[in-house]
Amino acid sequence: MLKYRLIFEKTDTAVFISHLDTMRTLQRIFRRADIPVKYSQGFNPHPIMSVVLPLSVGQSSLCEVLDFESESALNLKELPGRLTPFCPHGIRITDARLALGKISAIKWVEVTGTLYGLTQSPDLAALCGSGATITKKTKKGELQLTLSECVRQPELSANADGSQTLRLFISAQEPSFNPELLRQVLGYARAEYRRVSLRTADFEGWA
Amino acid sequence: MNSPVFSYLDFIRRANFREQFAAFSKNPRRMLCHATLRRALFFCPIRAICQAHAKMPCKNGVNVVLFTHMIDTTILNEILPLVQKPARYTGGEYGETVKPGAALRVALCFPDLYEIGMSNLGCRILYGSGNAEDGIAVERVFAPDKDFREQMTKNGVPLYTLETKTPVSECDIAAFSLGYEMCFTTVLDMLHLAGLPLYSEQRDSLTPLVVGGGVCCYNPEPIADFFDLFIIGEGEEVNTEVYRLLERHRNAGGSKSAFLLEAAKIPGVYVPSRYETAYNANGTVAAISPRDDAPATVTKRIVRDFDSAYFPTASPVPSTEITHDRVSVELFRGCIHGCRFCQAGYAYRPLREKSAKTLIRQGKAAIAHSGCEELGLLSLSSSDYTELAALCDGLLPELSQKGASLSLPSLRVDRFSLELMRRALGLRKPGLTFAPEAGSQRLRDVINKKITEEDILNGLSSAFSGGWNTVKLYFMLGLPGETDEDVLAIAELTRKIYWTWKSAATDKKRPPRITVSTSFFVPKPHTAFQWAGQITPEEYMRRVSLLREELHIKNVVYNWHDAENSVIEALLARGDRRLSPVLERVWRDGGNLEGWSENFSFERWQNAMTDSGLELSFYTERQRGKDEILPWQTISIGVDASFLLKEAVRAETAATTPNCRESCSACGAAELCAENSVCPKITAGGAANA
Repeated sequence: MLKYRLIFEKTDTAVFISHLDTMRTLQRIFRRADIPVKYSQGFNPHPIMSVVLPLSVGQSSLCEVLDFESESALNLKELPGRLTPFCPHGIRITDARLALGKISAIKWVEVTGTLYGLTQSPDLAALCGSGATITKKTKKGELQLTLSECVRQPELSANADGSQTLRLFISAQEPSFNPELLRQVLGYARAEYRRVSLRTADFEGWA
Repeated sequence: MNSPVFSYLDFIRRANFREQFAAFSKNPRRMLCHATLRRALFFCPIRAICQAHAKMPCKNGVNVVLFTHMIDTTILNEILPLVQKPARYTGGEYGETVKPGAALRVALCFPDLYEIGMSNLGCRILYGSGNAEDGIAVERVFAPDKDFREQMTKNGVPLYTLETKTPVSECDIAAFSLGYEMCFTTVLDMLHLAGLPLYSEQRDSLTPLVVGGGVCCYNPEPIADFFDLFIIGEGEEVNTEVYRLLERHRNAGGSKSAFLLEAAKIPGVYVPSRYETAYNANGTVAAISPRDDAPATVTKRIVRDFDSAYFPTASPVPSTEITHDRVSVELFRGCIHGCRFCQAGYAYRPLREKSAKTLIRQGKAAIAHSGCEELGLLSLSSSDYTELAALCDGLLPELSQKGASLSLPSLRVDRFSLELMRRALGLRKPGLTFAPEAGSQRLRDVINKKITEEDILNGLSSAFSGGWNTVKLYFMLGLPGETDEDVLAIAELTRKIYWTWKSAATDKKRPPRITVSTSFFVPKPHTAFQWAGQITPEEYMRRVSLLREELHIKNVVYNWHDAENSVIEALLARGDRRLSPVLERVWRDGGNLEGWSENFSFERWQNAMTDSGLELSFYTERQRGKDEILPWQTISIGVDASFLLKEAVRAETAATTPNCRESCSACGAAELCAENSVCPKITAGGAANA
């Protein structure tokens, strides 16, 4: 039994497909492409597949990770080309590999964001260096996150059309950090965020 | 190709558009590929881009086929993150058909939410069959849910098609699928969101032509004033003729009235503005007079050769969960039974089957294309399909190899179907459904529903001993001639079902779950009960209480439908043209998506009726005279009114009528001349040969 990993993009209209629907959509993509996935045992068998680090609806990504198991040996080179034609608009499989690297080794996500309606220009670096906190709502209640733990190397630059481009690293897990939370300190009207790459604790590329 | 015509916004921003365009494609020749074009346009900050099928030369000399007017998709990017389930409003699903250069654009409008509309097989058929035509693009439009509707209104986003984001007002046709009376106010809301005047006479230009189709059009009168024309019968048969005629008139710069005059000559097309209705002092219809040469009767069109008819095996696959999240094949159209209350049973006549060979091919193709986990076998009564065993044998091996399953709705429960379900579903044992419709044999004879108590108990006995334990039973209250004994017979039958479980069940520790549901009978046009009065909602509730007292049985749950919703359904089902202003008023008072009980308000309807000087009970409770002119009599479903009348008389004496396979009752549908139908062949003289 082999564990595989796909890297895929989620852009354009596909950013509005929720995490659960993305899972279901991917399962169907595999069935259309006739690529065998291992099913769980039991009363209600389901394909063994998982999309790690759920992405919020409305955010795009160039580096989503899907892990799955298959009992057949698959040709990794061919896999993206076999799957992509069966994807809805905005989903594209960019890479296939064996699932060797540990998911737990992902510590940072490189994110870019286009911010609209940003009225003040806060000193993000100073904010992240201080003990400032952000409130995150969870199922169990509210959680206070220290910015310095969740955000690294923020850079803000102005665009010609009046919007701002934000580039930063956010904590991927433990704690997971949704860039939308930055609205609390930045006070923008609207932002379009995009995951660009996944990084290890040392900000190295994660494979 | 027409010369490019730009709207004022395009004109100002044309240069900007070119830059945006070039930035999105490294290789300019790839711009012709519409996936790339879509991507460019999705982010293109231009509200409206270019008139239909114009070609615009770019700097490098590549001709780019442009979209029609598009809405500003940057606004969509702003508002979509704010609403529930935004994937319903984006399009871009796998399998959608995008035809940017089509000469004729049809907005196929479904007056309910995406998850309902995408579950509708009829819409998939019309979408696929229209798009299979050269130069015609059929694009989907669904009603927005409340939150998205609010954002659209606030941000000035008009109702748009999912495929190319073309405003409905820019399409050539807005074609509405009308399957359920409670969708009428949603139709008005969608016309409003599209920025179109509600009434046909207020829309001067030829396009967009507002067209209606579907089962509600067998009495289109309540909505007649809003529509330019109705397609009576099966759309896959007629639509293309209407599309082509419109295209010719549009290209020639013809007027709407000239087009409608021509369109009324197409068999199956009903142009309501060409008919005038006069009323008697007592409110009944005095006369329906066709103007000029409009036909006195419009007879429904059907697909005559159903086996070779178009079927969509490659429809869009929603990227979000929908109500019936599966693909389907249609075993047959029509029904042999002729239950006297059932509009579908009469309206889809004659019965036409597809061969198992065709269905196996279509089923396999649909599963392979969609990647869905479930294939539904659809029909009004699947047990009547002559090749059911062969069909399942042909489908099951491939489905199980792909890990997909069969779903078999509307199957009669007997030994044969239980064995079939065991094979199709393995260990899964879904609930079994019975629709005896009436509790006593006498009343079942009245409605010509030929299921006996013995059938039900024998079927359930096999089911319970085979490990099934969930049963759902559907009944109607308020059927013509129903007495309290008939109501109580429902409880008696339920008790017998419980005893059957007690004696047959293998595992008595696992209690059965028996659900009894009653709905409020709504008399429908073109049925044997089209003259019948609906009982009052108070009387319905009394019968509900009567039954409820008797249904305090262990493991039995009783659900009953809301009375008020069914009263309005009855009003609209048999209404006349005087209801158009009532519908407008209800919509203006906030009526929209009223099929969803949380959006329904009876008071709103009562107020609108009172203010229009109309009596609700005149439409719902009144028993029509057998010689009365009925508002829908311009429309013929192929079944003769004299046959319906005969059935109504037989119902009074509880005399049953044989089903179409036992013997032909000469309803008239044979004259629609379907191939491979159950009907006797028609000779040249028009008389049916047995």
